[in-house]
Amino acid sequence: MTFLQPWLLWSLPLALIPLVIHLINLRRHRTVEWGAMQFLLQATRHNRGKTRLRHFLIMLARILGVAGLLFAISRPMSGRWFSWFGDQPDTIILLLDRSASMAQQDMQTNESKRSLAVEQIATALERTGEPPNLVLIESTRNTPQTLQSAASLREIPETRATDADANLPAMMQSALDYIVSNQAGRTDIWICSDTQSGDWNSEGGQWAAIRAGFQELKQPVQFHLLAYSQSAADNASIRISELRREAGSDTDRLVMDIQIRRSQAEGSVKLPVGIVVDGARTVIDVEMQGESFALDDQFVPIDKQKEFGWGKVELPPDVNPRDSVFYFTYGNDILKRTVVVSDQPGSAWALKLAAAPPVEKSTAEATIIRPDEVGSIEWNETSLIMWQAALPFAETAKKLEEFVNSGGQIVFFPPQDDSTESFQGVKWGDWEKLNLGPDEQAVKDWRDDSGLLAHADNGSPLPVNRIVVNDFRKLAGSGQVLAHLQTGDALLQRIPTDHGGVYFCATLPQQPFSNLAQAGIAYFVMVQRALADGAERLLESQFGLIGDQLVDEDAPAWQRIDGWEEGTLSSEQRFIAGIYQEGDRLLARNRPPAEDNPGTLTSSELERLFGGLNYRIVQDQVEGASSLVSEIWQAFVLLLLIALIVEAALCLPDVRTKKVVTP
Amino acid sequence: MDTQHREFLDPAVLTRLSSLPLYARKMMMGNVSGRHRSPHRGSSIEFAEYRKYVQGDDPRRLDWRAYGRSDRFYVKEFEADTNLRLIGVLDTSGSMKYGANGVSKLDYGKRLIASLGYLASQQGDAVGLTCAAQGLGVQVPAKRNAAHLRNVFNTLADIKPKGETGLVEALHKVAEQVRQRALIVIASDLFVPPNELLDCFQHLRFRKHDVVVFHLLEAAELEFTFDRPTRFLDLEGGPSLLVEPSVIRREYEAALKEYIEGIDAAVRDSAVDYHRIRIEEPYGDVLARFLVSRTPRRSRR
Repeated sequence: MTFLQPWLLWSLPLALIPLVIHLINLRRHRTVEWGAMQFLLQATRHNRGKTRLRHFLIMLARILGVAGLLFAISRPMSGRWFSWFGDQPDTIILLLDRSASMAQQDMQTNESKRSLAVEQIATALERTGEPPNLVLIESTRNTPQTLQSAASLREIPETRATDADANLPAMMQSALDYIVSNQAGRTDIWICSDTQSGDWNSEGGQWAAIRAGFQELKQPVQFHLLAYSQSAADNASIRISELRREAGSDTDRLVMDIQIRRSQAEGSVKLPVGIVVDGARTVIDVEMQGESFALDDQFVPIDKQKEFGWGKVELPPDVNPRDSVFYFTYGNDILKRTVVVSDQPGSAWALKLAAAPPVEKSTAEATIIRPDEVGSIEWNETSLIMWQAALPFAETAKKLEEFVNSGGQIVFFPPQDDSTESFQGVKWGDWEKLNLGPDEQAVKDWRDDSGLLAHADNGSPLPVNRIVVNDFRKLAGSGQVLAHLQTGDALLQRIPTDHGGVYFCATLPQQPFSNLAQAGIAYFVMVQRALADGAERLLESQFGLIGDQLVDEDAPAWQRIDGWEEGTLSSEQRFIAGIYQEGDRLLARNRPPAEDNPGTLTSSELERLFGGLNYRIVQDQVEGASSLVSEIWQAFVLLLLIALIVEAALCLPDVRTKKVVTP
Repeated sequence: MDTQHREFLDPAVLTRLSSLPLYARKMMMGNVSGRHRSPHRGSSIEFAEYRKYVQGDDPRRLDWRAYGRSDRFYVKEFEADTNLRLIGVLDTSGSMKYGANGVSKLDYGKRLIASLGYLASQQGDAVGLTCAAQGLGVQVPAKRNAAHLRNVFNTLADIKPKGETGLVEALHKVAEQVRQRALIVIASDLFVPPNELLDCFQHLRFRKHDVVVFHLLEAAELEFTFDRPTRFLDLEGGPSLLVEPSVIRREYEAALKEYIEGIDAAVRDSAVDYHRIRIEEPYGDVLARFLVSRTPRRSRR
């Protein structure tokens, strides 16, 4: 509780006025010579029980009455944020989670968790007085922004809804950096979030460093977490996991795999799934049971002549309309580009042949470049890089790592020259001869359950055992070996990465090194599979996710043609789901998959994250109409009235019984 | 004749009361003839009874008419009228100092006893006085001459309220020392335990005294009309007490009620002539009411 007129609390000792008057009254007594002392002595002996309690209560009621009046005129504020007699901090940093899941709203009021949080914080600040320094760190940019007033929270675009995710550890780190760099003084950090597990990344290693950073601060920092952890009971989300265009005789068709997820597993529900392609709407009724539902190979016919277009799948609006729609674009088949980096024509040709077979209307294309021409690679349009040269280093290695992180695939083949560099911890060893007996196979074993050498879709194994290897180059470094030679050395090794794929093949495809190029079905499949994996990242751009920097999204040239209203602001549109267009280019933006996950942090997880810090957690819900802070002087006036009534009741003269003495 | 001015004697009151004789409710055994009945037969004109003549009786008292009618000797006997001894017992303890409007309970008691003494003396009764205070200081025996009455008045004039009450001891002592039947007039606030008072009354009753009690109380003592913190000084020398009257009023009234009920039970059990008096009431009215109440219903004269 805090007070709008706290200086009036200095007058609280006035509550003791009744007691002082009582004491003064006692001191101003008169003296009487009295004869009937026996009755007085008897009366004072008996005056120890109810009567003394009664007069104590009268005195207490009078004191409470005056105190209630003083409290009331001090304009007390009751707030779940505020502790008793809390002082105003020097700085208030507001960490606002604007992720798509915060758009969950109350169907009665259309008030979302985010808007409710903003309104409650703004109202609380207005009622308790503006802090000297109010800073906003919202989840899309994670950069501190100083606000002039609390009222601006309701107006600035940085507090509006987005379809992005949130990174709470990064926001906390940003707040810590701000406090350190600005010497913020006593700081209150208010966190408004729905505590969605994906946004908080509670298992991330950065939390320990963040906690330690705040604990080392000299100035006191108080955390207030306004948590809207309550999940919606009847929310459903929709997204497309795969989309492809298939050519037909008269018309083409878009084939899509649709995933629907809802927040409750019990019972079944009928959902009309709307599919809109180029403005034409199709509705499919789906009866859904359980938490998730997959609607595979749904197709929509499209004009054969139309080269590109856009569409969306949507569910009827529910408590979170942000996850009830998913946008996509389509075009012609994607050209799977491979870049062969080699300065040895013999090897390069064999590599290019496997990546882009010379067939008519091929959707694959391969380019051969020398290692010093790496700068010419169109990274965003390339799916696979086959590197048969000395391992890259410096800027080239960094470019390749970024390529891998964006989902690209690289297969390294051994250079014939010496190579001392390493990539991802692996480097080439010496060339060696593989001496085998007449009936011995070159490949001792290989992973046939997954990876590039896995069985075919029909379960048939690849003919890896027919591969003949004469010369191979040893690999130094750890990784997952997909195929072993008879010597125990790796023939094909995968380097673990979060995204994309990095492979090392220990021999060259042409003679005299091996027979991969001549008789290697396994080799062809291996390369095509790597190419297909690399092309997925381009396929995903059809329904791009917010946060994946595929194009220069900040360019103001992108115009919204469908999606949420907030996308009309150029500064915000890259965080808003919808369809955007720049010339002939279309771009779909959608919320990240983690935003569909209804899981939230438990209380114990939150306690663990804030362990050692000064924090308070206020659980709120979007249906709740209670304000964070409100004036409660009425309660004290009520206390005053009750005290007066009690005092009056206790002071009522006794009902006189019949006269004691009749002379 | 005493011509000295006495504050406790009001000629107007005495004049008004002079027409009301003082009667005893019990037979008295006086030395001389008077207004009061005696247990002995005497020479008054009030017929008492016939009694058979026995040897030794004075033949002059034979009723010859009765002999003529019954042929038996009867002696005709008459009531004896005698005087009484009025013993005033005045409580002179410190608590009797309390009063209002300049009149203390002691002053009131003095007026009652002095007036009754004067009236008794005027009708030939003996008047005595006992002061009931701790130590039983003053005791004036009953005599019937005018000089003695002056002595009684002088004693009354000199009495000052002081110390704790000695009423119980005084009454027991009076009961023992006054051998002949007497009218014992007690003027006191009776601030003693009722059970002890009952013992005193029964002692006096056993000694065949006619006991009259004037219970003197002041209005503030009955109604406890204080409304602000007050320090009460004990007039009998006990410790003072600072109290908030509103806090203890209920308990005070309860204690007073309990006391009054005890006094009522004591006077009921001992059959004394009890009069509870508010000292704000004119004592002349009190005495007039008292004298009228004791007047026999059938006049004997």
